Amino acid sequence: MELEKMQFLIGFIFSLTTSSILTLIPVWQLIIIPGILSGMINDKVRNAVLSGGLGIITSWTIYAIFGMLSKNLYTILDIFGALIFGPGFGWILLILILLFGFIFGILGGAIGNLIRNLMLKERSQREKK
Amino acid sequence: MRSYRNKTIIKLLIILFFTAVLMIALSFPILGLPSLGGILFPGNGIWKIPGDKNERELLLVPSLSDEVTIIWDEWGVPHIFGSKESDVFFALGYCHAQDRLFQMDMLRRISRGRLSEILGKTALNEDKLYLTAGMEYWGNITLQKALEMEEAGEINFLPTIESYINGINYFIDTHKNSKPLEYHLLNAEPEKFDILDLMSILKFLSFYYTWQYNDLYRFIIYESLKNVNSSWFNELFPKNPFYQIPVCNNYGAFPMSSSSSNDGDSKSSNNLLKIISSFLNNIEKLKSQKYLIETQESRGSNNWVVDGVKSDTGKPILCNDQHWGWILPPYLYETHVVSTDTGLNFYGYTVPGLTWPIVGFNHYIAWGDTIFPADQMDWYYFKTIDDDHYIYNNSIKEFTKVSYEIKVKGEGVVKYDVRYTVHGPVLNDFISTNLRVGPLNDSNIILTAKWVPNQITYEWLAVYKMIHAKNISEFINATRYHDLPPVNIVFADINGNIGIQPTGKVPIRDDSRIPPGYYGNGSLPYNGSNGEGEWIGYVPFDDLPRSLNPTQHYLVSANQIAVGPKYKKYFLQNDYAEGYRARRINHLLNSSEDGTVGVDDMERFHSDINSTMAAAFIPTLIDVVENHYGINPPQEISNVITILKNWDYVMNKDLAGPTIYRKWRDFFRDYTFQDEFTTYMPNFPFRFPKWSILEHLMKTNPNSHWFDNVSTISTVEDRDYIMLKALNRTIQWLGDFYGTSDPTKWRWGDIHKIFFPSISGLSVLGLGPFDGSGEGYTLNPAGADISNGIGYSRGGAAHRLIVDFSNFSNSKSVISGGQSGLLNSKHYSDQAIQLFLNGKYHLTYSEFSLTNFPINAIESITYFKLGGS
Repeated sequence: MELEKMQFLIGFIFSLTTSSILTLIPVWQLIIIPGILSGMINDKVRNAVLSGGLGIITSWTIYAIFGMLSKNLYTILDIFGALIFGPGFGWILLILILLFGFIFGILGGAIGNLIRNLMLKERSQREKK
Repeated sequence: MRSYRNKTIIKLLIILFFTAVLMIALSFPILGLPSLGGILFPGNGIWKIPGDKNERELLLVPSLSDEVTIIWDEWGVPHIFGSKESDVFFALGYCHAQDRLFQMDMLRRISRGRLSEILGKTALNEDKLYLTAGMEYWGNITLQKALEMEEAGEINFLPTIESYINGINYFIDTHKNSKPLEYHLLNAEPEKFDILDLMSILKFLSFYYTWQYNDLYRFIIYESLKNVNSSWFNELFPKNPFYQIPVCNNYGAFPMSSSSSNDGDSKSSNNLLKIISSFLNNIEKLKSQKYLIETQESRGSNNWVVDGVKSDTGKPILCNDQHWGWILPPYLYETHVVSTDTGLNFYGYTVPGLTWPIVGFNHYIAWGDTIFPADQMDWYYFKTIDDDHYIYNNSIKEFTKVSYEIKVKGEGVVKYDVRYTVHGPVLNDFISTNLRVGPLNDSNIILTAKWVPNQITYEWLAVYKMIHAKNISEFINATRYHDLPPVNIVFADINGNIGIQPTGKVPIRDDSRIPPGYYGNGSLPYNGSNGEGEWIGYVPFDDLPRSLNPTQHYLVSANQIAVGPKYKKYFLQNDYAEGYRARRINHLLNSSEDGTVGVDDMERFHSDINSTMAAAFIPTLIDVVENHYGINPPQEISNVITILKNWDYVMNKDLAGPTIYRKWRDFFRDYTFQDEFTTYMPNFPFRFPKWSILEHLMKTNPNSHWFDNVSTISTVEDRDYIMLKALNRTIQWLGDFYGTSDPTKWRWGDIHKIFFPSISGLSVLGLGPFDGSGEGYTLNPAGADISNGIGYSRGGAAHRLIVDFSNFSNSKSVISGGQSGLLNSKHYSDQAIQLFLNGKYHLTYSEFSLTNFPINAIESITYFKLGGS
């Protein structure tokens, strides 16, 4: 497997696993971390942001399906959706939540990738010296 | 190289900036909602909201003395089995918290004036009112008395109540990361409960049923009419009621159209009239009080019992449906508790936040409650000298004061002092702080309310004894402690006895000081400065009316008058329900061909939507139309009269008859009384006289001055004129509303809706609206105001119970919602949708034990075992 694909896959798995673990911690701002980790693994910016975003969205989708099956979560989403958008719009709320996860994954991926680039350049600079 | 690094850092800073902006935006409340990030992101907020219970759950509790098992049936009703009563009630506390935590919290906060803590300053006036009413204050004093009694060995069950509280708190402690949706919306945390919460909630139940402004409304009518014609007030508030069938049948009966006048004279105070009028105008600005005033008639109940002679089973059948107002979750919670140490095996209804069930059956005795509208509250006015002194009994007296600090969300602490007179708290102070629009504070007159719950009361002892009673004498003896709220307790036992016992503390007033001709018995406010209307005692329990094993073989109460004219001992009540529901139950119980009734009949009666009121009014209307128009009335009149003639008075949502009757009835009342009220009582919140007064006038006095419009000097209107005018207006109004002049299209369910609002107040969390049958005065009540168009019924039966003494397993129950207050639970509204609205019930499974409970009825099991830390 090409290195880039391998990095994408590992970044995706990192993002997915980390965001799944973070659902156990009630501090939502930590959701930036999976993307950063994923971004630091990938060389390419495109792969970094995609693996971060897709990892979170996949993790949250699984979480949502589990929630809907186990405790009727969709009813709550529907009610909350109704409070914001009007009756019958729980699905929009769900999509919006997943979209936010994706966006934070992208932002995290970009941050992680830029940090990686900075660190690598610094290192290569030191090695040259 | 440096350039690359700088570019990268700039890019990083830009992305970090956008990330920070997004995070900050999602961290702050928006559109009245809490921070979206905190509530919407997985792992937080709504994703942690508890749902339905696990199929099997094991809880290790260190404080239990033995194991407890809860079997949850298919309707989410807990059947709690244990060997120690304190453990069983620990489990009940846990169940209440698990299913109704937010509801209990709200009840506790209302009772103790702590709503502002989570709702903010919008609830501040509500808190002030509830603190002024003294439910927490007197709850605390009652609690101290209970502790003294426990210390002295007079009672021994406070540890069981504490165990119940521990059960609630155990749930709160173990579910800190999993709170109901409402807490997320309010950004609040559940707080632990204590025994004072429970005592305060008990007092609040009485507030709901006995706190009243009727004396003040009556005073305005009295003062306003006395100078016009001194007999008019008597006509609106006659001494002997019309069309009442008393609860206790052994004190005589009122003739079905009796009338007799009170003596009336005067005592006048224009200033007082303004003060009271202003007070009422202001009090109606409080949402809770407006609701309390407007739903007075719908806060009733029905209960009835037949003995073995009247029952087709040969054993008593007892029925009850309490009308608490519709809300999700409903106020009542079905419970089955079994404890082997005391032999308790009780099925019935609890109020989450309270330990003991309030009605139900213990397999020896069953009972059901309706409110007995005894007058437990009097209003007094006093002259004040200054802020600290007032005149009482013609001498100067100092106010006593109780200071409160009300925590208001986002506003800090608000200090609030309640001034007390010898006759209760001053209500002006509360009104004058924020709501005042009238001249209330410009006067040196204060209004106070003397209310029975503002003392030590013993209903907590009564219900404990009632649920443990094993025979009728133990039961009746237990009811003597039932001080609050005053209720008609209908009961039956396994030996075939039936009875009804109105209970509650009924004040005896000293009316010797009221001016000649003024109305006593607490019907109008007293002049406290002159020492009027002192309470000199309470009606002794043994002198309260009671019916046991009547020869008619049945007993009925529906908040109607308690006793007939032969009861002379004491004055009991100024107010009572219109009596239409009581008339209907009496009729139904006497309508079977063989004279007996069975469980199926009882189910039918609970859902009965035949309007006794319509049957009282409509035939006269038809007669009037036919007399006036002969055989050729105008087409539009003929169309509606044809519908009314073919109507059987069943308030079915698919019929047009109910719509025409209901709208006509309202116009008929308006055209009869409104002219007098608006002419002589301008600027007064309009309260109409009872419907039974109008029925009586219509049937007995077609030329009554009430039918004459006082604003038309040259014309004298009579009943027929007003009835026809109302009919023409009805046809016009309904034609406009429905957009068609074809009256067959005026479907009742299109204008009369049933809605179950959510306790959160958010309409999206409510259930409905549904097209509604019935009306406020049908046995299955669903009252709604349709004066401005579609009306939403806010009150009706909160539960329905049928206890079959021939076979307890045939006993049935239903509540008007579901067991769970959790929005995503399947038991949030399952009973309302599948059973209640269709007139159906579920079995109680009260006969079964832990070992033989039907497998197919078990939804889940919770085991409480000793252990943990």
